[in-house]
Amino acid sequence: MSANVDATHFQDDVFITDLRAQMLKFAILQLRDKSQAEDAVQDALISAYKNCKSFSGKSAFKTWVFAILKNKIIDLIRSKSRFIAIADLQENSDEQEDFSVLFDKTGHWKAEHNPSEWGNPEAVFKQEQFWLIFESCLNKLPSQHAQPFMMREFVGLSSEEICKELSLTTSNLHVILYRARMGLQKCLEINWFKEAGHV
Amino acid sequence: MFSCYKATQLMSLAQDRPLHFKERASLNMHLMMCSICRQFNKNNQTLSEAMHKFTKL
Repeated sequence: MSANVDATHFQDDVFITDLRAQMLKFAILQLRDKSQAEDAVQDALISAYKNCKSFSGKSAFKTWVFAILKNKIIDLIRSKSRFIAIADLQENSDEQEDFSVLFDKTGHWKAEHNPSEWGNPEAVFKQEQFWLIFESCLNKLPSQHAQPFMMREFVGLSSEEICKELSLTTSNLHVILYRARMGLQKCLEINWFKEAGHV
Repeated sequence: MFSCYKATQLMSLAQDRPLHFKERASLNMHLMMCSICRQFNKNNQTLSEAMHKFTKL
């Protein structure tokens, strides 16, 4: 190892165990495949270890390791994107939820589907239970919606980049992102805001 | 006035590209008159904030 290597954080077992668990959660959400996610996390940690620089704090170190993981995930997504974009989009198109059912013939909200008041976001975000439901709602998104949505909102790629990577047209992508957002909003509404009476 | 269905699509679209003048004008007009869509818009923003917080873990 060279002189600028500082592997201190790798010797902190508790920190590394936690970090690994968070990375795995992140990778599974994006890749939808546990063994692939485990490989990506492993690769990212190894390459972080090999290229370890000096970091003043844990959070800087964590940000850096996650950046490596994101790149690994993007590479994996790229390598399998053609299958997902084409196979899933066509085969599952009948099963895709059509959110027009939330609206009446004239395109106005049906009373029973009116969005409800969610209350103060800051208060909501403080509750651990909310995040468990949020994560399960993300996991429930159909994979052909989830993947572009995660690339957009999680990885932060632009519409153009996603279209290029997944061979989608812009209007196709916008429909997918719309459905993902509607699906998430509906799922949260049912499982957190209405059902549990957290409002 | 255009429909709530169309308005929800534009609210999502606005998160992925800047709306054209005409789109923005008709959406704003709709939101001024429709309290249900204003609620939807608020929830959509909360959702977006939640995504960002979730990303940072």
